[in-house]
Amino acid sequence: MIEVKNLSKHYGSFVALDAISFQAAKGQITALLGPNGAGKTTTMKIITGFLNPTGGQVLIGEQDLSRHRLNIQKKIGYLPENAPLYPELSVDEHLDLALEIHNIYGEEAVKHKKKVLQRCALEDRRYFLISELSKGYKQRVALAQAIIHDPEILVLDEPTTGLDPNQIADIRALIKDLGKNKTIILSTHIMQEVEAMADQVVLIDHGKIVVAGSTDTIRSTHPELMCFRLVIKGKSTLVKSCLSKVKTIVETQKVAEVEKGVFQYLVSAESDIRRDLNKAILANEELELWEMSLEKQSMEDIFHQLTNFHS
Amino acid sequence: MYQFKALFKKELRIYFNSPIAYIFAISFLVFSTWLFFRFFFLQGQVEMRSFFGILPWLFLFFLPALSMRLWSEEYRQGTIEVLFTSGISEWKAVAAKYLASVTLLLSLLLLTALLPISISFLGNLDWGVVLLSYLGAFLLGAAYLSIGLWASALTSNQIVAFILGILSIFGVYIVGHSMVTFSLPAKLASIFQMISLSSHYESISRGVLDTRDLIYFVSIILLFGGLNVYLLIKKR
Repeated sequence: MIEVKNLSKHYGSFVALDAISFQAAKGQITALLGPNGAGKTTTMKIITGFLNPTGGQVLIGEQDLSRHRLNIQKKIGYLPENAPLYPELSVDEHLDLALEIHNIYGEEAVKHKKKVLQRCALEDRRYFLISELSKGYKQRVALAQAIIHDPEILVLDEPTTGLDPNQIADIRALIKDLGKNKTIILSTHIMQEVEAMADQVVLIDHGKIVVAGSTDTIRSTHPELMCFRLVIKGKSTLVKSCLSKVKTIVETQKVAEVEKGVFQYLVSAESDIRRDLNKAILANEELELWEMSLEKQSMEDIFHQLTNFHS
Repeated sequence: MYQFKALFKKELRIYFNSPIAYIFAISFLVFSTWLFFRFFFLQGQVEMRSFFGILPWLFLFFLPALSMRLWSEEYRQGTIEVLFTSGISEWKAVAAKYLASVTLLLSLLLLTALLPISISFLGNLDWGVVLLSYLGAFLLGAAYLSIGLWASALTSNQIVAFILGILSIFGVYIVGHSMVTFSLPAKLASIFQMISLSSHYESISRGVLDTRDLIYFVSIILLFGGLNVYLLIKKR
């Protein structure tokens, strides 16, 4: 259990973190989400004891991090941003180093090493130097060294950057599996990652928490926009002009061509307008409504609403 | 202790996995041997004085090259984040890195032992003076490395660390030199001589072992080790 209380970090007059508070429970994956430069990495550096906060407190299992730093750190596995490693060492030597730093030797060390090599799919690169590895492999070595001593707490800064789609799926599954009996905090700016893994989201922007809670709660407390998926046969210009007459529509997007002359649209609106949509389309003889459904609002929509992501 | 051992081993591994240690040892031996024999045959005496006379200047360029990457590369690669989030205290990390570089210095000095052994066949070599001079050279090199390691923690650029190391060592080495002290009042001059590396090194190489010299070298090593720890803590 990690409890962050009123954490602040100032660099001179620049406020990187402004009194943020949240909790991360055991057996849960907490995602710090936010645009680049929001303060995610700073938060993680403070939680792992690498940086001292300007103000506030981090409690880990009821122990104050600033007072018991070295002991608490032994229980943490940390994957920093950009997977820093020693280019002169081999994968095997790197894992040995991580084991020795945590005082794991002998048969137990062999067991731990074998397990992470297999879990992170590194067996075929075991004796390669780090400098010979591709970005994806480096990322996995850094993850392997973070989990090799089986820590209670895992802090992962953008764990899937640099991986190809297959590897991303594998690593997400691995993190999800690890999350069952550990406390995991990960950071990301990719929405799908949150939806795929996280139980809890802490949305940060400009050093402040915009919203925090379980993914389900956030969805239900931010129903501002509803999203409808429509499949309509007919010219898309006609559809657009037809839908523009419906009230409360915020945005109409043509997403895909399902068949020749049949298009799929995503329509977001401030209220349930299914009846109005129906009427508007059926009123036009050149259009046929093939499908209509209410979409679950994605975390991405909420993310865009709550942060000025593109500014 | 296990943390210290792990880090110490890692530093040695990095030295020996990369060409650093080999290039370093070979070029040092080539330079020192060549310079030594140049004077040796001119003087025609079986002694090592000229060798220990040039050693401080060779060390000035070679030892900062050994210590320059120790912290700056950790900063540059970002590995410092992993290092200082795994429950290792700053002083343990400083000690591990320092002693790894001192181990290299020690093996280097052992390799140069071929010189006194080979000239001892040519005449009567005073082994007492040679051994004492070796002790002096080791202490001097150890002090250089402590200063160099501290300089390495100042920057994430190896080359900058190298130059800062040379400048700092040079400063501490020459403050007691007569060219610096001749214009100073006697009291100040004696203080400058007291804090200078050169005066303590020369007094050991003359064949006199004074505990004050020993205490001096240990203090310099601890002082810069302490400054190094302080620097790391301040960066947190």
